[in-house]
Amino acid sequence: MENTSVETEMLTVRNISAYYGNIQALDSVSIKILAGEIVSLLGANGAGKTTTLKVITGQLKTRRGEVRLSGRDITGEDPEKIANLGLTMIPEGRKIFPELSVRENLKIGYYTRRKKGSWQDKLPEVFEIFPVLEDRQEQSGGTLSGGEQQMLAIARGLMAEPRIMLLDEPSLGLAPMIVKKIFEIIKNINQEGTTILLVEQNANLALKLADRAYILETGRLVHSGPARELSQDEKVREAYLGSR
Amino acid sequence: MGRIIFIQNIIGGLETGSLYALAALGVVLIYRVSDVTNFAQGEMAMFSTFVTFTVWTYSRAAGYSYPYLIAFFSALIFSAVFGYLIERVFIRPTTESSLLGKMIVTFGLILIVNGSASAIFGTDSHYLQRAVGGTIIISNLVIRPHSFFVIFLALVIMGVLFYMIKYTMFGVAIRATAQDRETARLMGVNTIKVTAFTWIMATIMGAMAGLMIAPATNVSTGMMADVHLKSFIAAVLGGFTSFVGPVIGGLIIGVMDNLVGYYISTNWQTVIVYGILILILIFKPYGLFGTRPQKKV
Ligand SMILES: Nc1ncnc2c1ncn2[C@@H]1O[C@H](COP(=O)(O)OP(=O)(O)O)[C@@H](O)[C@H]1O
Ligand SMILES: [Mg+2]
Repeated sequence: MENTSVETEMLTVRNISAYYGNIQALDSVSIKILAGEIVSLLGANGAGKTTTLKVITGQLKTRRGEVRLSGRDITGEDPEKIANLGLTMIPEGRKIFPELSVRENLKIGYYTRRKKGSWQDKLPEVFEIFPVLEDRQEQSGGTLSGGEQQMLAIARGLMAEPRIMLLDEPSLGLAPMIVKKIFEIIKNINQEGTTILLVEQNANLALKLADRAYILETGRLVHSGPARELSQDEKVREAYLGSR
Repeated sequence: MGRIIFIQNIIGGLETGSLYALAALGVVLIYRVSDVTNFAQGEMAMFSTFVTFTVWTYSRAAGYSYPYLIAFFSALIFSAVFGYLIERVFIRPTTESSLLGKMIVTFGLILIVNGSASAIFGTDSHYLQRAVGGTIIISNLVIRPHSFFVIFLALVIMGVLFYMIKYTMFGVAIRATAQDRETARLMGVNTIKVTAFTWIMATIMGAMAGLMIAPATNVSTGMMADVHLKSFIAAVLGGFTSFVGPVIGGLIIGVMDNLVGYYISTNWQTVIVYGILILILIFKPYGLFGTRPQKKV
């Protein structure tokens, strides 16, 4: 009781297994994220990163294991309900609404908070982080470039004022310059108080940004620990950081 | 004289056309949000009209002061509940089935609703009054105020719907759901509620179309055949991927039907109208306002 700075668990994933039909995609995966952390989930293509996120967001039902958000059991809840609890997902491939304008994409991002305030009041804050979106407000989402779409996806997520944000490969298919910018923004979002779970194949960058990381291989966790330690680990360097 | 007849044809065309538009908009609303083509829309509208007719008859027999007004509001309430129940009982359980499966479900609904209507209300045909009676004559131009009431009613309903879809948070949620259901859920949108809403709204629009066409067709189990078919043509003509398209499509079909029928030939009316439709589709395969549907991932 005397310790007031007890680290609070934001998201706890315990022993989850997931299947597509009869094919097992996750085997007893456990992840813990403390409030305020940036945690990265790394792994090659097909390792099960997206599947892990889908179990967390409720898009995919798990057969075993549990997911807790701030201590509350959310295993098997519907995605819309989990979103309403303050967990926001920036999905793989951005998934912005192509026929909605940039403004409308941001508006729908505010959906979970619609009864608490006005989405327009939140806009300036988001535009300050992403000035390019302000210039393109009336354009339909589908007309943006890849990098702009990724920014819109993150901005849309920010509109929900989430407690924890899950990002699925935000660097995918983007030029290095833009990736750098987006990673800086993720860092700032975290410093403003949002907990981050960052899924990446780009281990180099992700390990620089993250406090801790987990590494997935064919549905199983093979490494975990503080990001700095992992980036110096021989085996990790060989397999993920391209050093020999 | 010629110009007066022309104007009369246009007004008559806009009157029936706005009913096609209402019904078409209902079909497109459901289609866009849940990929279901509701072939039973017409039969559901017929059923609602029978209920409305029954309320009207009883209210008159009971000597209430405004039987039609009572019937009108009961049509709104009944069709909302009816639409919700149909979605809940027949559509929601089949969400995961194939497109063909969903189509078969609404074909089944035609039989169920039509059969129930015959069993409950009988197969006779009944007179139902116009919303607004009488005629106005302005130098040979004969106008029924009912025509204007119908056009006005359709405009109000469509106006409210368009405003909602365009400007409100729920409207954006509807469009988001139509584009990408899974991502809409990630935004916190209860897409089941959105789907239920579209069925309620579409059934109300169908019921209003039924109630407004009833004075011309009489209330019978086959009363919606023409409106239903034309509403589908209107949706195809205007484009299933747009909300404005079906409305314009409905008005075009209504007006064209009347003009071709009067000036060319009633015998060839249907053939010519369809011919023009097919011609338009050759040049605009997704309809006048439609775009190539984006693949849902
Ligand atoms: N919808 C699906 N149906 C069947 N198998 C899938 C599906 N999605 C992913 N998988 C399989 O599950 C495994 C993990 O995929 P995923 O989680 O997408 O990997 P990652 O995000 O790490 O690239 C892969 O073998 C992939 O082929
Ligand atoms: Mg992935």
